[in-house]
Amino acid sequence: MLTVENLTFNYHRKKSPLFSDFSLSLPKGGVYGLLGENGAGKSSLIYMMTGLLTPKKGHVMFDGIDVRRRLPETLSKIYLVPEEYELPPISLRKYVKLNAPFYPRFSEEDMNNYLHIFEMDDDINLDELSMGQKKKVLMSFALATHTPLLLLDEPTNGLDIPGKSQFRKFIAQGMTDDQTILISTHQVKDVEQMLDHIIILERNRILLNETSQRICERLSFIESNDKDMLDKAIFSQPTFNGNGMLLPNEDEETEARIDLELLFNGTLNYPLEVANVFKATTK
Amino acid sequence: MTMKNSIFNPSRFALTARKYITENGHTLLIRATTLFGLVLFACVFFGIIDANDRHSVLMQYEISKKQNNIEGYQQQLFERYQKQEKTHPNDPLSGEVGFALVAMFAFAIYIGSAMIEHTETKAGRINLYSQPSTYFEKYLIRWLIVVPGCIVACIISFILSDLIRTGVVSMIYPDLLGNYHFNYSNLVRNYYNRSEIIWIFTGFYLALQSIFMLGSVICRRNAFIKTFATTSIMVLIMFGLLYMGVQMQKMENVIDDTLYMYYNSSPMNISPNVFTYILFILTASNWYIVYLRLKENDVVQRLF
Repeated sequence: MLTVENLTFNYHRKKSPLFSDFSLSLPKGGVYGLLGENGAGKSSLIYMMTGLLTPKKGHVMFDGIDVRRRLPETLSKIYLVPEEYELPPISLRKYVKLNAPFYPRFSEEDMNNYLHIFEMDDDINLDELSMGQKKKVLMSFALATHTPLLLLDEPTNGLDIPGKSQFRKFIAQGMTDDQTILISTHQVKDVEQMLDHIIILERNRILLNETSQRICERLSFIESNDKDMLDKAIFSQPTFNGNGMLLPNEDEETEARIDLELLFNGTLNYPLEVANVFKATTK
Repeated sequence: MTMKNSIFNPSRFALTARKYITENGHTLLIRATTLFGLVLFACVFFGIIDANDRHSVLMQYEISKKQNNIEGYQQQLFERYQKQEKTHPNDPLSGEVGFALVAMFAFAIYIGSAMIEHTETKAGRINLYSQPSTYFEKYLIRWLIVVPGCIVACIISFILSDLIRTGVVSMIYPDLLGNYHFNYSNLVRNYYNRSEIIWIFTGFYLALQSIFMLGSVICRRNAFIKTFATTSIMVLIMFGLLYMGVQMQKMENVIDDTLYMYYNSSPMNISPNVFTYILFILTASNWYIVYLRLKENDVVQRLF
């Protein structure tokens, strides 16, 4: 559905490129997590995916059309919830009335359902809301548009603690089979257990691009004090109960629960070792 | 509504226009009200000054009449005020019209510099660029408000102000003679056969406004101040260079010669039409550059 082809991009000509000959493909359906440290290029990549930023070389194609052309048909199929956003000082109902016609698959009923998940009412004025509430409104609208591609840039930033758990429920309830959702975040704990596919990005390169199922098959996430296990671990980090360890899953039948923080830190620190686990042939 | 990719789609344009006007209605209303307030102030201020003069003439005339000592000029002045309207036929650009024109220019360049507003922040740019309509449609609604919309707002402001001025003056000086409405037919009569002046004026107005519109897509913050400063500096440099050229080449008479060429009917010389054409070409090219800049702008400005 969306392909990034040999992308080269830099903000300043004299500096090294943020992306050089970078390629990525997002097939139809599923929740993708785009994880990376601050400055890894997640937001820049998202802007290029929506045609809001022009690459120096290469293309981003959505259903065979270059997104940089910013054609209305393409724009009506992609919805971006940016990290920084503005809502006009009007009522929510008016906002919906003004913006919904641009998105042919928009459902007002779904919008009200999503607002309900966030414990919000539709009879509100947008200029009276806090930033977190505005984000909830914008995300509810975004999901109700039912665009084939929904991009959420740091969606949990600015949400309160109940808001973060509501967000997980919101994604689970709003997700449809023909929709692709890309969540870009560095707050990995907030999106744990809701991703179908994980992409870990480091400046100019993809360190990991695997489905959650395959990650569970190949890696195990264990919290223990066992010294033998610690020796075998690809990566470990101290926790309250000992050590959190990232290990190759020797028993592929046993599916592990992904500890996203451990996976993220392990991949950033030992990218080759993690990559080798996925390169190894299945027993 | 299915989204087609044609450069202009009437129903999509209607949605874009409705969205823009509704979301910016408050700002647009404040601006229009400010313009109206300025023109109204000028109309009432100049109207009262003028009415006061007339009233003095009338009082003097009445006193002289009682004393049976009316002088010829008093009679003439009285008759003129009795017969004629507010504006003298040979001087249609009275104080309030002059002020209204200055207000119109100021308003036009201010509105022009705010044409592509809400792009000072990344969030505003994302809102604008990711809206599913073509850049031509996004541009057209803004152009309609800034260019013809501004002229219409100025005309309506002046007509309403003139009506209010008439009411205010009638209340203060109920015994004043003559029709106090602005004489629009005088204005038309005076400029009917002087179309070149109207074209030059229109060309200058549109060209100046278009420079500020261009500024709105080049400078994301403080577009008005930056464009005003840049334009002023360029004009000063231009005049400075011209002055230096004149001084260095000892061509004191060059200005006279230029003016002679300008007004001379010889086909070899520059006619006012050429100047008008240049202004209109400059305006059209600026409008086009604004459109291209809007279309090609990125949400994050890259440094080259």
